[in-house]
Amino acid sequence: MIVTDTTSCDSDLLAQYVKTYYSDGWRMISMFASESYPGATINVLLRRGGEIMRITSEVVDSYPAVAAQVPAASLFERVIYEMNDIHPDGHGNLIPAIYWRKGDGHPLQKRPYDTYNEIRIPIPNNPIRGTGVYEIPVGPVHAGVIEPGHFRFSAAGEPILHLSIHLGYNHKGIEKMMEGPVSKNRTYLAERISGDNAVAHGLACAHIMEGEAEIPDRARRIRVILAELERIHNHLDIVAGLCTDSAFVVAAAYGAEVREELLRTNRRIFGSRLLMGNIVPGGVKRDLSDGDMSELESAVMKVGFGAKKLDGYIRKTPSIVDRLETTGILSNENALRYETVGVIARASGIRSDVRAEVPYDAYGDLSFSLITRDKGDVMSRCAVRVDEIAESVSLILQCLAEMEEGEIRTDFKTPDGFSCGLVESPRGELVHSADIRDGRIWRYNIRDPSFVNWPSMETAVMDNIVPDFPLINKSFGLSYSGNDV
Amino acid sequence: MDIFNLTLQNEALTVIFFAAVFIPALAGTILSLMFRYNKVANLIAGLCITSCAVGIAAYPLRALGVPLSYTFPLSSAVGDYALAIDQISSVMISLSSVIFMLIVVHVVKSSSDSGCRYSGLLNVLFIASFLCMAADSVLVLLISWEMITLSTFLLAKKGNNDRARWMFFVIAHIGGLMLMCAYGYLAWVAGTQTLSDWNGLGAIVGSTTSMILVLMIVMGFGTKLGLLPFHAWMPGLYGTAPTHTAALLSTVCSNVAVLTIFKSIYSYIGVTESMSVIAFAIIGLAAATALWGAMESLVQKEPKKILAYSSVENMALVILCLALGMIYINESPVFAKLILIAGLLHTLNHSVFKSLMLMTIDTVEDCTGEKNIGRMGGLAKTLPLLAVVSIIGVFSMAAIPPTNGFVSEWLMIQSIMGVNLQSKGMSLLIPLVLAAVGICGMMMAASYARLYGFIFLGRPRSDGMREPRPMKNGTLLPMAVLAILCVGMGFFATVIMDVLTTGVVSVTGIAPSPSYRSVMSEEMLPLILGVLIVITSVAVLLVVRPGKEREVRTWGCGEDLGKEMQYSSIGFSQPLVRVFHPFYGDTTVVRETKEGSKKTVHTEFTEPFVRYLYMPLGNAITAISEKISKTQTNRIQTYFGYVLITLIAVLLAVRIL
Amino acid sequence: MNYLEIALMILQFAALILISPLITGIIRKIKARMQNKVGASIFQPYRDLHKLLKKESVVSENASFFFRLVPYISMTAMILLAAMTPFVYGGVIAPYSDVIAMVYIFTMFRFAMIVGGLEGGSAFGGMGSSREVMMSVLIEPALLISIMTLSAMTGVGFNITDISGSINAAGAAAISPALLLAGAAFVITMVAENTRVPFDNPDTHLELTMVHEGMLIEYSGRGLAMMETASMLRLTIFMTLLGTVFFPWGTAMTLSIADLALSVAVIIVKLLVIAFGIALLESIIAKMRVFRMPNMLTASFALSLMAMISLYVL
Repeated sequence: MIVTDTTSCDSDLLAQYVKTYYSDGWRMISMFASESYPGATINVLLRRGGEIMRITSEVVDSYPAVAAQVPAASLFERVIYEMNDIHPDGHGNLIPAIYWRKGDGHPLQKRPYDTYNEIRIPIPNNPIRGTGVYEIPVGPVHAGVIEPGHFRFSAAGEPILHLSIHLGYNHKGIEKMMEGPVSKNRTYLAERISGDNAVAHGLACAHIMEGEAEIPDRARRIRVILAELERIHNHLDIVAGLCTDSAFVVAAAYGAEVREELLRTNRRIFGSRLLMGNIVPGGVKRDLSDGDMSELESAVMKVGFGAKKLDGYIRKTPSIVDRLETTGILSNENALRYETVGVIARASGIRSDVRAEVPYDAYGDLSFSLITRDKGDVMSRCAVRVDEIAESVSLILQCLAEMEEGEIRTDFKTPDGFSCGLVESPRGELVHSADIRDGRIWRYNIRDPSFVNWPSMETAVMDNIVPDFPLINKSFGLSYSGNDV
Repeated sequence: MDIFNLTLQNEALTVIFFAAVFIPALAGTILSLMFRYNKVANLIAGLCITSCAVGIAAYPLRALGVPLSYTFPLSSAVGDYALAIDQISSVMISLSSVIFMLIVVHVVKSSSDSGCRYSGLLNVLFIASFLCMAADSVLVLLISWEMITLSTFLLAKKGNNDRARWMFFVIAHIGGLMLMCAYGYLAWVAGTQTLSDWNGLGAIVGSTTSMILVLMIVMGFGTKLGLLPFHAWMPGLYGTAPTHTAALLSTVCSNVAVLTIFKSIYSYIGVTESMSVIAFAIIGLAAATALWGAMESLVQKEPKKILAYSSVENMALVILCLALGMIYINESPVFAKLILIAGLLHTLNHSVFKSLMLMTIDTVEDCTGEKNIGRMGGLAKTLPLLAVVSIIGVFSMAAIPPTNGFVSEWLMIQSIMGVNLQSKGMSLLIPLVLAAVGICGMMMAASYARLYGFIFLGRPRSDGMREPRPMKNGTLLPMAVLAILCVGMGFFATVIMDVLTTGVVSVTGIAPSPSYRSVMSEEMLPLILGVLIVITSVAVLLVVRPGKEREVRTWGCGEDLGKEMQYSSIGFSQPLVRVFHPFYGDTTVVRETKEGSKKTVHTEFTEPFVRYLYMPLGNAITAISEKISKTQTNRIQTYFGYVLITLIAVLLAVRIL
Repeated sequence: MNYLEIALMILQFAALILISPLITGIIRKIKARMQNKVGASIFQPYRDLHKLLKKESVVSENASFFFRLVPYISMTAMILLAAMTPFVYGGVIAPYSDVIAMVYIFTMFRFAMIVGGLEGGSAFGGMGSSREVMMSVLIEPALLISIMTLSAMTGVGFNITDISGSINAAGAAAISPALLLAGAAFVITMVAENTRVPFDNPDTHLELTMVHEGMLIEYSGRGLAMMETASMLRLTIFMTLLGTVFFPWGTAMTLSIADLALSVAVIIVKLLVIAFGIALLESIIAKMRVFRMPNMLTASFALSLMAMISLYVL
């Protein structure tokens, strides 16, 4: 996807520029620094509906922080500071993005990076003090089999007074690994950014690689099928997980069963339970035979019914409804302030969905409705997920019904220059962007929806009680791995 | 033993006993007026210990048949100064003397509250409590009670705690006034000063008057025991006064009050059937007090205040027993006996474990210099012996078998449940009282778990706790004795119960048979239960011996545990505060400090009684006390002057009545 | 008492202790079946305990002597209670099985565990203890009152064997509002006391939501084995009490072979039914919010109080 408009400005004016665009209804979707000798280029990507705007600005080693004017930039600038050693002056909250790491350098700089030492930065205390206030450290090593992340609660009893989320334990250096000659197997790596969102990441990467190439209609429809299958299994996992976390075991087991059926179907038809390896630049890897299509149709319908039944279990049991309602409320104002995306934003009454705003692949030809709720509590997020499963089922059925014979891959040439790929992953708006120079990827940036959604959880848990946190966390369903690319 | 049967020798023995009790203590008092050297202080305390040691002999002498009654060769216009120790008083005196002695030993050894003035006042307090328990004339009773108030008031001086002391002073005198009126009226009705001649005066004055008198006496002594709403002075004074003063107040003084209430209700006034209304009122008040004490103790920040509220709760339970006895005595005398035994036994047990715990707290404060439970922790690693001794005290307070605290609660529940009351209305009392006792018991257990857990367990929360000073030599001794008493009185509770039976029978006039044992669930259960527990634990230990063990740092989820990453005492009780929030009110205040994102949270609990009843009152009193404090010269002679003036005032008041 | 009787008593005492892991295993199995899972063998708890007993203990350096004492106190309390509980025919130490003492022995177990939870010096143990305290302030009185109701109802004193025998002898005539209300209160208490769903999730490994597991979080090896055994034993004792004291019909009243055989059969059926009930309950409802628990517990408290009041008023 090519950026609609590009402007560049002086680094001193960058913050002012971004702010002006913000007042015009634009919203920041990504920001990163791209190294260039000497100094670097700060790239700010803004989106308003279907338009995407890129602002560039040359800097040397510091610039006035955009975060001072636009709070949404704060997160990105932390990463820029740590990865590229470009100091945003006046940022105010430059806490580290990574606490345990190999080597004491700036990985995204082009100079060699020594990974000999292991560095452990002590996690800062929460900025809240007082009589009887204590901190509860949770993670990075958890009791269950979940990804590493450190949560630092402050409480004086059960209600949470403050929560700080410290991530970065999963940093894999994928952005750096992406650099190099453009080749088709980049999607292979992209799929591994966050395994449960393999299709979304693969698609975003493929969109960049393909440039303006015309993708065959059949491939575009198969891509939608893949993306929606992925959405279904992610949503099912989270809804079932909510049941597990509230010890509502029968529903949890049922949800897990429905999901498992789907994953097995995935394995039979697409060769991978999590649909990996199916998205390739230029199309898809695997064609669907008629048999596959009918199998998929019945499997998807079964999942649709299963999800309905699971929803019924939840709605008809007062104990779990009581548990989910009014828990972890993310108000509409906060959801806007933190610029949340995806399911979380939709559950707080924000109508945002990349599929509808910037249609990609076959979404423009298909009809689906945008699911929203406005309470913003765990129940709303759960309900949005359940309803989206139904929408996904309908999307898949539409694709299957109108599937035309044809090619599934096309040849393409990756154009030089800047381009970005936007995808609505099961978690929300996913942005990949790449600066391609002379057939080589010079800088590849990945912005998972989790990255912008994590901070909003810090407000959603406020004044909830500590034992409700796992439920809230599960209902957000964010990726650690996607955050710590 | 022949010689003791001779009357002359018995009388001589009585005189010798009283002389041996009073002379050392008086000498100590006089010495304290004359000297101010610290070396003399030990001598003065030693004299007090001698007196206490003699005091312990009260019960054995009484059991041997020594009459222990004596009239001072003085007489005033209003009557004689007579002493007579009956059976129940002798038990109380003996045990109170043991406690008093151990506390004084601890005072000497710990030296946190030393000095001639303090030791001298201890002597005064001992004389006063002894006199009060042994009093046989109204005059002695009232004067000694006043002396107790004054000497504790003076003993409580530490730093600038005038506010708390004056609150105590005023409330105690409200009680004193009630007592003076009640006893003055009784003396007028009886036409004699001699208490042992008072018997069933309630029949003379009529039921309404006697109910008022009972209420006045219970409330009057209740000011010291902390009955609602007179408990308000307790946390303040316990928190600020020297710990030993608190220990004496909560044990010896409470014993005196309970004993006198018991004798007044059941002997002097006598219980008639029509008095159940006031019994109900007192039961209600006592149950409310117990619940209130239990709830408030959960949120206190200072260990001493936790124990103050614990005293409120325990003494309320005792009053509850005494009041229940008033109902039972006409319906089912044998259960009345049982519940009175339960109440008195609980008084004795309470004085044992409470003094043990207060000494522990004193030692903790002495070794670490820390007063706030929020900054304590981890002492069990550095002062293991103290931890062992105090866990016994905590078990005892929490009524865990086989300690003494369990036995009295067990008896209480038995006598509440076992009785078969005639009227259905009265029977309704049973479940309600049981519920109150049950909730109080568990709440207090929670509070004690918090007390022990946040002082002794976990990681130290401040520097003082990390490297405490070693305990002073010998401070552990009195605590160890008390800990042994806690367990011993649990195992051999029936022995004490038998002793108390005689006293209860003689005071109340309930027929000695059938024995209380006939209604108890199992005669020797405390002992058998204790033995069973010991056998079982030994068996378990033999079967599953401690295995291999490795010490590691506490798991912090992969990060290092910082010093603030430990549960706090306020957090510990927060869920309960939230459940019972109507009784605590809004308590958390969040303040944003000036450095932008930094926040400060404060959790403050103000006792509602203090806020809404005493604060307005107290403000007025402070204004007065500030004026009065100018007259305080910090010299003991001046204080004794005040004592004298008050005494004369009391005498005059009695005279007028 | 002849030797045969003593032998029988000891046999049933041993049986009560030995079947407790089995009961837990059965509940887990039923729950697994309800979730369409195969589930572990019903003997898995024995294997787990055996494994734990062999392992070395890892103890926090902040833990004091009391930490090492808590497993022993817990085991002692539970074994003593097991000896008092009437199972097939009265308890082993039947003459001394005082109900008030039993409630206080439960308190001893609970108190030791609450204090032990504060040993580690981390946030999780204290969190478990503080939640347990909140629950126990309401559970303990409910337990006391519901058991006392039986004592007052039968009027035979405080010996649990007598109470059980008296209700048993009265037959269907014993079914009264008081018994049913007390039984209902006791069932809620049983679920809460044993920290089952909806009060706590015995299978949870989420640090932040634990109650009972939170207090045990620092235990390992032998200590954990003993604490786990004590917990399993506690569940079995409560189930047995429900089966032999609140609804004792079928329990042997004489020592004849026929009576004993019937009693064994009846108690097995009762335990299985209660186990099934617990498993069913855990399957159909979700864990409550922490601050919803007091409502439920207050209900149990009120039920027990109503039971006792109904005794005096009706």
